[in-house]
Amino acid sequence: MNGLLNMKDQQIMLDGILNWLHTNMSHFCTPNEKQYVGIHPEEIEPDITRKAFTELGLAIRFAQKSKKVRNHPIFIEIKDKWIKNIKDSSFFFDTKRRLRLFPHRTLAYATLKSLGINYEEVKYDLETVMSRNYMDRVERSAWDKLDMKYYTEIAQLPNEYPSYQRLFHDSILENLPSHSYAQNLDFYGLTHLVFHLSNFSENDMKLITKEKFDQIQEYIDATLSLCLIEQDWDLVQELLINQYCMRKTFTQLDIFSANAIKDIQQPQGFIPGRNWVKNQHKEDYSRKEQHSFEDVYHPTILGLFLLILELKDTNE
Amino acid sequence: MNSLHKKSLSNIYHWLNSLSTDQACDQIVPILALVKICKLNKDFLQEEFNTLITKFLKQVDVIDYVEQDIFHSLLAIDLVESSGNLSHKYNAVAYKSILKELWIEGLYANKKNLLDSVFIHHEKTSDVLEISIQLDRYSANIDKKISKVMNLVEAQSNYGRRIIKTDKLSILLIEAMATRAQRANDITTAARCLRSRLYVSTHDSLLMKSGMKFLLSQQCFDGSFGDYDADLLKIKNEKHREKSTLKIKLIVAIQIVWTIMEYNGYNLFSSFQDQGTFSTTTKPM
Repeated sequence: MNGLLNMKDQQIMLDGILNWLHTNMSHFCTPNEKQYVGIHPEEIEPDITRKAFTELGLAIRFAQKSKKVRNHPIFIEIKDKWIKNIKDSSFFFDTKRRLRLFPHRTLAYATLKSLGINYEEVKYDLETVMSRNYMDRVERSAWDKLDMKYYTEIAQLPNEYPSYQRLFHDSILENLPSHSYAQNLDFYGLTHLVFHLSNFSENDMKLITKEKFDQIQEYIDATLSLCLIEQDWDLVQELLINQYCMRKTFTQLDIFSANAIKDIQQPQGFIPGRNWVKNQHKEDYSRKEQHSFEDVYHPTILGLFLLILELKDTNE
Repeated sequence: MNSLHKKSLSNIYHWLNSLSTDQACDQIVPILALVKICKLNKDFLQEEFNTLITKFLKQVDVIDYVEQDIFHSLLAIDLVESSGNLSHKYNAVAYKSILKELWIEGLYANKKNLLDSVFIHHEKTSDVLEISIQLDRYSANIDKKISKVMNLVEAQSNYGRRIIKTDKLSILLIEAMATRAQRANDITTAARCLRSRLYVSTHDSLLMKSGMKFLLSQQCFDGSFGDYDADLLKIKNEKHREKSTLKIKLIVAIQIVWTIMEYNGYNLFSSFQDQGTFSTTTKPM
């Protein structure tokens, strides 16, 4: 598999993304869990910060596959601050009761485990929740089940989710929706199914999808071209990561898309989200420079994922 | 032409046939334009559409092309030149010559591609023209960018009369532009993009198939195209509402049927009659 960007552009993009993440680490740091008392555990929802924090954790875990990324001095600082927040925020407080935070805690636990940090008490709590025959039996879409199966497996927790093969057959990958009507949420369903079925390119998608493989590949290409025209840089990156997951020999489309991402990266280092793009289309120039953490953090983390795949150690 | 496309044409015929005299007189130009496109497939419903033309033309003494969309007028004129009575033909040729003079003088700059394609005589050629579609990776105005690409393809291909070739990425991005329009329910842009896509490649792809299916699924129970009932409820006067509905539905039907025809290999611009088959010096009876 060839690369999408040249070495110089990879380095510039990586430095920019890590700088932005580092500058904005305070936005990723979650509130102290012990302040949420006197509230029914079911009412404690994973807000944007917990979501952003665990997604960054997933990227930190994934970065262990690339010496160039994991040894980057700014990356090391980000990683240290991330680990520090686990303690500072009592991140795993009341795990057995705050079930809506369970996926985030599973992901954070898996991240720590990949860094060689073992929290035996957290492991016990997470395993206990899984052993209650609840989490893996709740009615959910194949996409949700696959996400949860993936999280529990990378955390090495026991689970009774259906097999990957069964989840594939129950998912939209079996019968993909028409692009004329598909919504962004459908495309996120596609990208997440491909991420987790392939374990970010570790598993051969041809073996899982069999005769559907070519159709799925054509669908990903078509969706990527659509998102490129829509200037939806978040989905463009998810789909480029999908191309890696499909172990595709990159075409003009993929290289053009990756270069579009490189070009759109802002001087501060972030990759713009949908609201930023919308603001660029407005007449009001004063709003063009503005961006919110909520809008740009996700595409920026995706940029890091993409670069980890680009810079992945070849001997693995 | 597959059975679904034939069924769609047959439904259009029934819709047009059901229009009242008032409706037909009011919208005679776009109706004739639509019939002109429907008749491109010479093996299907020719007699039925010919009967319709005779019926409609009998209902109007003089066709007023002036206030109409130029494209619709040119299509209607082309049909009248071959199927109208002497008076209709005379008026059609006279209006066409006025249009031509204005075009020579450089008016209608925004319709330049269209009028160039109609008035400039193009020798048939089998030469393949390779074009490069330069797409910006980022553009502040996506719709403007799409329109620019469509203008380029329409001009270079002479609306499908000339074979042009481009790279795979550009073909895919034109399909993506069509899909963007479908998702926004912008039917005329979707149809335009799909035709441009056909001018650069006749290969049937995933997005080409879903795009054609999207266009066909715009057909309503009565054979017309487009679901505008909710939008048009804003017009309180029922009579005005009906008039506007028909007007919009004809515009959409012309775009969709034109695309169906191009998809099936019937090129609209190749069907225009040669200049001078009927002269304005021939006096009407």
